[in-house]
Amino acid sequence: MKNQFTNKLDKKFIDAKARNRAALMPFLTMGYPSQQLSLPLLETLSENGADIIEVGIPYSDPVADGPVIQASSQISLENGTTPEKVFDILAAYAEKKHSATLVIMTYYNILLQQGLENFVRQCRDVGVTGIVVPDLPLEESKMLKGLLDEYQVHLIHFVPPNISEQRLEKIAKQASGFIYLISVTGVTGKRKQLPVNLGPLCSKIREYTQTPIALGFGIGSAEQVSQAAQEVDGVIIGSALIEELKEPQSAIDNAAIFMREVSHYE
Amino acid sequence: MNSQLDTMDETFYANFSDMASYYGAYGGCFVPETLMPAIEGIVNQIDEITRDEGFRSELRGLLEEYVGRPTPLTYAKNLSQELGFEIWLKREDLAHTGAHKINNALGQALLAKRMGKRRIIAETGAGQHGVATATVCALLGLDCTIYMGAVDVARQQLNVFRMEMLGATVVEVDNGTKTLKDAINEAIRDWVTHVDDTYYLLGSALGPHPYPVVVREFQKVIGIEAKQAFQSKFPGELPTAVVACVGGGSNAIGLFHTFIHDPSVRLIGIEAEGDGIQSGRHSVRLASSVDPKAGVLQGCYSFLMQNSDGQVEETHSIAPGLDYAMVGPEHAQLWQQKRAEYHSVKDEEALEGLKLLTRTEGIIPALESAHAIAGLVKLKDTFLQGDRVIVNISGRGDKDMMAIFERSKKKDK
Ligand SMILES: Cc1ncc(COP(=O)(O)O)c(C=O)c1O
Repeated sequence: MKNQFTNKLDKKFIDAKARNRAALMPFLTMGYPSQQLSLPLLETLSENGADIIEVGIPYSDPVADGPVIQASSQISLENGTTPEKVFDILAAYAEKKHSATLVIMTYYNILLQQGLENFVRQCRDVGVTGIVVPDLPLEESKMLKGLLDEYQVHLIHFVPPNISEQRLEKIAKQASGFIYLISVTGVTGKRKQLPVNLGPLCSKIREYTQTPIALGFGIGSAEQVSQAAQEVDGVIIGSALIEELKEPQSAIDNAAIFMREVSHYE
Repeated sequence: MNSQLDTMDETFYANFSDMASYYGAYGGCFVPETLMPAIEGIVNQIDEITRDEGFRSELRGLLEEYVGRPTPLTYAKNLSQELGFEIWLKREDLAHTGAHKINNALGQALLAKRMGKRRIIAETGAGQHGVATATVCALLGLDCTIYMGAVDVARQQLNVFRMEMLGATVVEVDNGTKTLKDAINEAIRDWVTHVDDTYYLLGSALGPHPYPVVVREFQKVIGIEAKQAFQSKFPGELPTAVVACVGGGSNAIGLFHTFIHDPSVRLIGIEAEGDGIQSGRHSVRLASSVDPKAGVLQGCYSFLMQNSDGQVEETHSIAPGLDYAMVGPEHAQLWQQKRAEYHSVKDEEALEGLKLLTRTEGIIPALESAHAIAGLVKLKDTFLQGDRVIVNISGRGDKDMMAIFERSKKKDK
C-alpha cells in the first residue's frame, strides 16, 4: 500500500469542498515576464482567490506545452531563470505565509540534473506540496515517487481522456494530492469548448479513487470554470492567465483582475 | 530470382519478440501520459504484425524491387591506395531517395498501415527522412505531414520541394533552435493532439521506447548485407572495422548491430564537431574530451548536450542530419561498455572528406556521410596495410550541393 500522508495540498481541496467551490489553480511560469515580478505575481494570485498555484520551472524543450507557455518559458530562460533562482523566489514566498500552496510543474531533466533527492528536499524546504512532471509516465516514476513519499510531497499523475481502463486503475492506485485530468488530447492552451464527456470521465475515475480531480489544459474563462466546477474538484488555468502578463507594467494588475474574475464564477 | 535477399535467414527480419525499454541504464519512455496509449499500441502489436508472413514478404519485396536492395559493397580502390588500407563502401547512397532513411520509413509505414493509421507525421533534419517518409506515404496512399526546422528548410530547400511534390505537407518550425530538435518537439505536440489516428514515424534510433529498437531493427539490414557481401569475397573473414557517422545513430547502429558480437571488429562512430569543441558550436555528445552527461530529452535518457541546469544546448554542424543534441541510447550503452568508439571531425574536415571521395572514387557523399570518410582520414594511422574497413555511405550528396556552392562563393569573396 502506498505511503499515506497529507499536506497542505489535501487541505486546500477539503476547504474548497466545504465552501462548495472548486479549488482555483492558476499556472505561472517563473521568471516570466521578469524574475522581479514572480514573487509579487504569486502574492497577487494568492490574495485574489488562488487556492493552489502551479509554478512552472522553465525547460528548453517543453513538449507538452502549447505556444503560449512555450513562449513564456523561452522568455524566462532568456531572462536567466534557473532552478536555483526559482527556489529562491519560492523560499521568499514561503516566508510570508500566504494562503495559496505551491505545486511545481517542470520536465524530468530539470529534476534529474539537480539530483532527484536534492530537488525533492528543496521542494519540501520551501513548502512545495506537489510536483507535476508532464514527461514522466507511470512506468518511469517509481524512483521519484519513492523520494516524494519520504519527503511528504505529492506526485501528481495525469489522466488523459484516451486512457485505457487498465491504466486508469493503475494510476488511480498510486494517485495522491490530485489527479490532473487533461480535458482533451493535446498540449496546453486555451480552447473554445470543454469536452462533452467530462461527467462520465470523472465518474469513471471516482470508481477507482477518492483523490480530488483537477481539470486542466484549455480552460480560460469564468464560464468554463463554472461549467467544470460542476464535475471536478479543482480547475487549472494556464495559458489564459499567461497571456495577460505580457507587459511587465500591467502584469500585476492584470493578474489580479483575471484572478478575481475567474474566482467569481457562478 | 536468386537475389541475395532470398538466401537471407531469419536474422534478416526485424525481430521484436523480446524488446526491453532500456539499453543498460539508457533509453526508457519519458512521454506525456496522453501518448502512452499510442506507445502501448505499437509495443503490443509490433511483434505479431512484423512476424506475419504477409508483412515480411511485402517489406522484403519492396526493399528489393522499390528501394533497390541489397545495395552494393564497393571497393574504393583509389581511396584505399591514398590512405594505405582497404576501404569498402556500403552504398546506402544508392538506395531509392538517396539515403538509408528509406529502410526505416518503409518498415514503419507498413506497420502503421497494418495498425490502421491513415495519417503519418515525421520530423526531418537533412530532409532525407522527410523525403523517405513522403515517398513511402505516396506509395502506400497515406496522409503525410513533415516537421522541419526553419534553419534546415533554408539549407535544404530542394528536399522541401521534393517532399511537397510527393504530396506531403511540410510545416516549418520557427521556435527554439529551429533545427531537428525543434522539429521533433513539434511532431510530438502534433502526435499528442492527434494521437488517435496518427502514427509518428520517427527517423532515427532515438526517442521513447520502442523507437530506438524499431528503427534499429529496420536498419540492421545495412550491416547484414555488408557482412554477407564481405564474406562472399572473403569467406569466413570479418572486416577490421566498420565506420559510420552518428547523428541520432540510425545508420551507425544499422551497420554495427550484426557485428556487435564479433569482438575483433572495431565499431567506429563519427560525430559532428562543427567549428570545434572549444568553439562551443558542435554536436559532440560522446567523443568529447569532457565527461559526457546523460539526461532526458524527447522521451529518452541518453547522453545529451546540456548545461548544468539541464537546459538542452544549441548544436551546430554543417550536416543537418548530425545537428542534434542527443545520441541514441544503444550507442550510449556501446560507448559505456567500450564496445564502440566515438570520434569527431570538424565541418572543414567533413568538406575535405566529401571532396576526397568525390575526387578519388567519383562518388559524392552526403555531408553526413562525409564525416565518416573524414573520420577514416583522421584515424588512418590506427589501421595497418591489409586492414579492411567498411564505411557506410549513408546518403548521396545531391541535397547538399546548393549549400556547398553558396559556401564556396562566400569563401571566394
Ligand atoms: C544521409 C544521412 N546520413 C546520416 C544521417 C544521420 O542520422 P542517423 O545518425 O540516424 O543515421 C542523416 C540524417 O538525416 C542523413 O540524411
